[in-house]
Amino acid sequence: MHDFQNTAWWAILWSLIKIVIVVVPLLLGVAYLTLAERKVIGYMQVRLGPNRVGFKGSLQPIADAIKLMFKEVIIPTNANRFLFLAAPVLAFVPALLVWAAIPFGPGVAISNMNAGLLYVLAIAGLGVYGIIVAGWASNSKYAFLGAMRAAAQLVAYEIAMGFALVGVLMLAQTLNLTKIVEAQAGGGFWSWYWLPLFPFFLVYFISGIAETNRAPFDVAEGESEIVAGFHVEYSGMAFALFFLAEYANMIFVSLLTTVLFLGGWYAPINTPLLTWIPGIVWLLLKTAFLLYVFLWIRATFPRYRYDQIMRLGWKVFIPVTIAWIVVIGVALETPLRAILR
Amino acid sequence: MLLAEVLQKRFQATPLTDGRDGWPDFQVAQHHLVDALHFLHDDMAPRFSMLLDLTAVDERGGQTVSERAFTLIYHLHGLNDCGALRLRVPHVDADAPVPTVTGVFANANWYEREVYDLFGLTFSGHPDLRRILLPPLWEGHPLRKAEPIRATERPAYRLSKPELQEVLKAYSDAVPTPDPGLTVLNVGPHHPGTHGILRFVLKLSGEEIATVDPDIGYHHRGVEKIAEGHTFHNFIPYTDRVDYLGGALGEFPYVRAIEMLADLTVPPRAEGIRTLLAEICRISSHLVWLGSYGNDLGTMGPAFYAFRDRALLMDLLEKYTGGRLHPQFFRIGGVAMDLPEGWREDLLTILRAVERGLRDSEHLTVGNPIFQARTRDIGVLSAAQAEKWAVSGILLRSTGKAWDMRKAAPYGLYGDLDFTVPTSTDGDALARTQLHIEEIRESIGMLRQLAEKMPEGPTLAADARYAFPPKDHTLRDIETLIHHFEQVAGEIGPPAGQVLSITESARGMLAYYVVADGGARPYRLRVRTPSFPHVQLITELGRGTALPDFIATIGSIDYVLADLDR
Repeated sequence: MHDFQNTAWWAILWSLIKIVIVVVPLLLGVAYLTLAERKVIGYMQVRLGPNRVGFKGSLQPIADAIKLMFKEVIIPTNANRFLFLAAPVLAFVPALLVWAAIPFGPGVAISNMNAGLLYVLAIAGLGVYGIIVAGWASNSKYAFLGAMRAAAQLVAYEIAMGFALVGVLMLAQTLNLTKIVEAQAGGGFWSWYWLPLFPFFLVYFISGIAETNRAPFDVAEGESEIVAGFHVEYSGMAFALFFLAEYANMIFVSLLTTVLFLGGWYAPINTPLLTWIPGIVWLLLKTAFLLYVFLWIRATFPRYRYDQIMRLGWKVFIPVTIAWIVVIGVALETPLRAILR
Repeated sequence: MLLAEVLQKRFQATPLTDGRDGWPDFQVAQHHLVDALHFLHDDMAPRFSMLLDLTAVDERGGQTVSERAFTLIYHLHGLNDCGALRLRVPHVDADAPVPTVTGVFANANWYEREVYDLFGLTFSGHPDLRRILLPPLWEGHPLRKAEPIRATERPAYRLSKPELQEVLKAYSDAVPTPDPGLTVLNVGPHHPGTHGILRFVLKLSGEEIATVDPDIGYHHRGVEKIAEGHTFHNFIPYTDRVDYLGGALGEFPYVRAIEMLADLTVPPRAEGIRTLLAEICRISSHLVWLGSYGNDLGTMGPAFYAFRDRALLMDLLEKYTGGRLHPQFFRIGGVAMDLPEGWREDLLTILRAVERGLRDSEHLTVGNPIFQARTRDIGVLSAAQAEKWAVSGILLRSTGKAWDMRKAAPYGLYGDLDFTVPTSTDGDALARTQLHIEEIRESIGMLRQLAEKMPEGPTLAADARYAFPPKDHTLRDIETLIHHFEQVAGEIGPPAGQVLSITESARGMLAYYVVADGGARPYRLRVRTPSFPHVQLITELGRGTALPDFIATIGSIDYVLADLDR
């Protein structure tokens, strides 16, 4: 047995087990996030949300999944068949890949890699290829408009997002996500990075909403303008993959914001009353709160026009983040360094 | 009378006297028409700035053989105290062209296309004469008297395969566009942003719109033809449905038109009840608009708040009239019955709830920074454009002109009510949203006043010859019983004559033009709806915008497709 644990086979098997442990709850989380979304937004909009399937609608996501699985995947006559089917996969795979680097506790990750932050940024940027390819392959004007918007939006937001992460990097002096969380330990709520990096915290979270194509930045879908944008021609499981990717990304952005700015698995106040609760609970609670903010924003705001989003990205977020990098850089060379680090 | 003198001297116009609405009414020969319109539009003081309506009457169906085939009817309006003016132009030969007046009034474009479509008259010099409401392959011209009223009297319509191919070509990408470099984008017929079946053929350069061609008529039900087959009373339910969000607002101009024809005096309480129902319908229509406009811009919240409150108003209408969306409560000479007991308390309670809910919707729309960013300086309408395209209602008031038929020529009980006409000078979509909200507040104020000073008395006119006879009277008095029988059996109608009745619907100036020949059915009934000129305006307003702004613009126009296509 001991020998087996040293073989390459065991390493692969153990990785697979870890992947299953992460992906299965993730997909369930996605499923129930859709239910939570419909319930929460329903509550905000004076209606009930799903309440017919199972106890108070609790089986609704299962019913939806079964429905989507059995629906026909319609491929338009003039679509590029190969790319049309590859696009949902292109969107879905990065949405899962990013989870490899996410720490759920001190050192608890599928892969506790040293360049975790870089990896996450790189993989998260790949998801938009699925959208662009879907829009192009559909050979439909509305889909194409959606794809072009998604591409323009991505360029505007990746940069600001990257700069926001640079700030975290400067304070934590590491790219390892576990170590970034550990650097925020100590004073509870006040020692988390959201305070010294407040502009980055906002920019990162808002860019995260934009990157996941959620309202008010859902111009690539733009239901009332370009009907459903890039996925207008998709049905059945092909559509479901886009859907899964979007919700997995939402959870991912919320979780990463928690890790980077909200002290990961640490309790908000450093007292034994709270610290006995396992870190994973805190991590998930904070993530759930941010997810709620996602839904709250969707229930409240109209959709931006895509050039307004670009203006926000280029003319507001990028200057703000650059300026704050300078501020943090200068502060680190002064006695403030002791407080910040 | 100066106007009459000039028209008679310069254009050999003959004054006509069978109009019952009191507007100046002249017959003008065809070769004088364009000059006369030019004069009225440019040189007359005060000017007739607006072509309110252009339509025709087929004269070949009456009992008396007429010397002419058609009469073209031009209704002008000055948007001032002088009100409307009617020009009638005889047209002898059905195949000869009529001179176009698009050179004088830009909005005549669609009206002339409609006359071409429904009457088969051609217009010489018209820039784009093709069918507008009916599909291109429709055979015949339905408003000609020779066409049967019921669809079942025509042979069943079959679309052959080659014909179908021809129709589908309009939607196909395979047909090369005549303008290289431009993408043709069909917004509609099924599109979430068009609020129903309506197709805008856009030519895009990038995402910027180079030209807009609205393809309308998908909701055409031919109410004008239907009217010719119904008695005057039977037609009332249709008027609710012309603008299906307006309900009682559509009944108002129609019953007023018939009452003018029959010279009926409506008792004050009936007028009060009509005004009450009309204002409830106006609030509910504005709420629907506010909710669906939020939805156009990607926010779902206001839709649900607005529809919640609208449901309360519909409950109220149901309690008063039995109908929720469409009261069908007006009768010629009054209303169907008195209000139920406790109507005042119900009204005041629901108004409070609506007022509270409106604050939420207001915060989520005009109070929201993204909503402001999406609507400020979007779909900007200038006063000159408003005049050019015969715009009325909130669209007109958003350009700074305080024109509201309820104020300008009070009908119902509006003359006794204290209200203001909200205006704005911005002319953009944000201003229009603001105006909708303010108008809801004004209507709530009017309803509160009505709750206070609703007149007492009968709800139907005493003259039961033309007015609808009260049922309880029919059981007591043989005279009324006979009239009731005659009216219900469809044997009696108002005396011959014609009339134009204009009211303010939720969308703008809604007018009914009725020609009666003394029979039990209207000889010709014309519905002038505000949505028709407003959608025509989009051809100009939509040009040069990007697709998201186009949706924000057409949403802010507040058209109803049934109102557009009739």
